Amino acid sequence: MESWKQALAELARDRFMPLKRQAFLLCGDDSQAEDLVQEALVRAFARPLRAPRPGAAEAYVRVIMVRLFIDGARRRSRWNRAAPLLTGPQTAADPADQVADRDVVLTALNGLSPRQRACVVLRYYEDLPVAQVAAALGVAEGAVKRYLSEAMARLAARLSPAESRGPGKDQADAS
Amino acid sequence: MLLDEQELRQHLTAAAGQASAPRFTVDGLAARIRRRRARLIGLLSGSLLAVAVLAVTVPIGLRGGGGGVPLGRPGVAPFRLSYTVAVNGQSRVFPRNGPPPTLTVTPGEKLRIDVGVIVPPHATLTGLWLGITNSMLSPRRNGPADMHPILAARTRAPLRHGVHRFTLHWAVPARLLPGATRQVSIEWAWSQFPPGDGEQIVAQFDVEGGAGT
Repeated sequence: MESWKQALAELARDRFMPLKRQAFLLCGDDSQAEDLVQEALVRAFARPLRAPRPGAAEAYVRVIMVRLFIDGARRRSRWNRAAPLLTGPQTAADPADQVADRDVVLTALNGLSPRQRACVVLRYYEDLPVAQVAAALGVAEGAVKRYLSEAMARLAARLSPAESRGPGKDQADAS
Repeated sequence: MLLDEQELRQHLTAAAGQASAPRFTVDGLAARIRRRRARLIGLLSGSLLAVAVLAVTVPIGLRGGGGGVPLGRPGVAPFRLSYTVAVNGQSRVFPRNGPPPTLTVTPGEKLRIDVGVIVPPHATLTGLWLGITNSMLSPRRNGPADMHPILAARTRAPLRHGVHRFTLHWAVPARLLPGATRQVSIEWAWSQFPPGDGEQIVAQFDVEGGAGT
């Protein structure tokens, strides 16, 4: 068996699901996460001269996934800016988005920039040290710390217990 | 307002748990990877082929159809020999990229051919031969193979930048039939890297036809 097929088979055995979960946290959407994982895997193994070695494949795929997500988010952002000019001002919000936004954590993550979101996922979901997060994103460690700090402030505003209790707590206090 | 990191980890783990199992299979992925690899390899080999074609065709294009533009040292522009021709005291125009001048001669006619060879700067010729050819040009580093007779040769001292004049005397063979052609050709060699050789027709002689010969 060729080495890339062996590495792919190793990944498939028990690492596809963790990759999908990470992609889901990055994208916040199941089908987008599916596409992201697939594209990252294809890109990782399609390069004839730079295919990952067995054992090192997962980390390589994760890096590609994060970078694809950030690049894709940049493209989507450009499209979102241009879309109103093409479709007109009457564009309504997609009901599917509203359904997806029900989840508090995902909604909170949606409020972050792509880089902040990638930093949060890598640092607090994957438990990578700051240096490895910086290496995966191709930025300085200081930049990662800044992204994390800003992201935590934003997430705290949405996820902290005081906020989540919201009006209920105020009513209880008033009574 | 602070967010506990441990709490955030729990939130993220819970949110990630909502992801469904991957719907793709290893076989499907492997097929996509094989297709992408084939495309990449195709692009890569196409690029390499294009580079190889350029590497072959550009020097040939620079040499021109009649030859005579050997390549010099890498990084140095290829040099080209220029020359002037006069037959029996009459100058003949030699357009730079055009065909050589053609003269009509009669069998037995005696010709004096003055050729001025101009060696460009940075070029050094290790050998130079002038003579008569019969539509065949086959330069060799050690001398021409199809030049009969050789009317002038310079092989002992290298020829450097400047004009080098040669006077050739040739009698058109009496046995040549009307319509036959011969050429005065110049062939040269150089030892600069990469060593090479070149050749070019200086003038063409057409044996007069229908003149009672």
